[in-house]
Amino acid sequence: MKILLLIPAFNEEESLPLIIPTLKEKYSQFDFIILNDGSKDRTLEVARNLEANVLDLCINQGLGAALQPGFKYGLENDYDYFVQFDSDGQHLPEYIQLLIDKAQEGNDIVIGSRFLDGTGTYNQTILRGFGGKWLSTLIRFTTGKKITDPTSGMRVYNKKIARKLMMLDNMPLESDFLVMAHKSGYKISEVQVTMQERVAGETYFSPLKAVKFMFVQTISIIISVFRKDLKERK
Amino acid sequence: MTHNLQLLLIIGSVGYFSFLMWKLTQSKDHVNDMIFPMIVSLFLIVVSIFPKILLQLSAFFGVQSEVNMIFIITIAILYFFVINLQAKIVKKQNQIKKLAQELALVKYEIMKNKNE
Repeated sequence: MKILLLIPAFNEEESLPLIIPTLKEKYSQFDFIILNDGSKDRTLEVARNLEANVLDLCINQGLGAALQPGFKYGLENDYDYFVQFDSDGQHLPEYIQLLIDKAQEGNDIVIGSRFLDGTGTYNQTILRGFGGKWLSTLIRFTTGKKITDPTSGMRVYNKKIARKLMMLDNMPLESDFLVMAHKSGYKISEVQVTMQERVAGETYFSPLKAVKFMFVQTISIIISVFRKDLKERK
Repeated sequence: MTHNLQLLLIIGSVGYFSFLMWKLTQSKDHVNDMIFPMIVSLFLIVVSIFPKILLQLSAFFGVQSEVNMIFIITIAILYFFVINLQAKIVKKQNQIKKLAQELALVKYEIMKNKNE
């Protein structure tokens, strides 16, 4: 079984030196590839100096589109599972295997959830906490499916989903995607994980951007209910 | 409609039509994109020469004056143009994304071959 970690990086020159060596030394069973999403700092140089595999996107595309060449690379090289893994150090690699195990039980998407059994200790602002709960409620309302952490960026996708994601245009891979996937009959599951604060660098998610994100997601989730099935889309 | 406004409309619409014709002569592949603007400019020429059409239209839709009718029609046409352009931009954006993604994969292959 081959597993590929897709690590999108946008201006992460400070956090990559902390993550790449850990993955190389302690988690050599997983292959990983850095997806440099048009960074303006030395992310590319840092990643190459650390002898990591890098796909260098010359223009900033956003999460969904940045992952696409990663899926393509992985499928061409016969990988079975794809792990979306943040480059800012929030995600802990010790949970990857748990997610993979869950995926092997027949799930198409497995989300690393911070709030599944209430044992997680993740500090976040009131606004973000409320935002996550709101999206979770909205998903429950529109699909009937309970997803406790729809904004989690730690996810595992199987080959079937990867093949689909590689093809689709404008697929931002956020909460609205989960609604689309569930509606299209793909199986989604969650695993309790712990996440930590970013290890270095700054988040690009300002309060204003967060509010805009919530607004767009809300509309997108509602529209997703009426959208064409993912399986029919080309 | 005052004569001054009518004169302005005739000059404007004929000028617009001439501009489109001039653009068409510059390049062949513009023809497809120019069909709708051509129809619009011809319509503007007709209504500026025969303002009675506007008068009847505004009476039919209950618009107070024919000048307001011109505004409504123009705004509708502009909206159509904007939506059309937006669709084209999204299409181009996706094409650029695809190119950048392919380029990233090609660069990776080149780097790999270089290192081997």
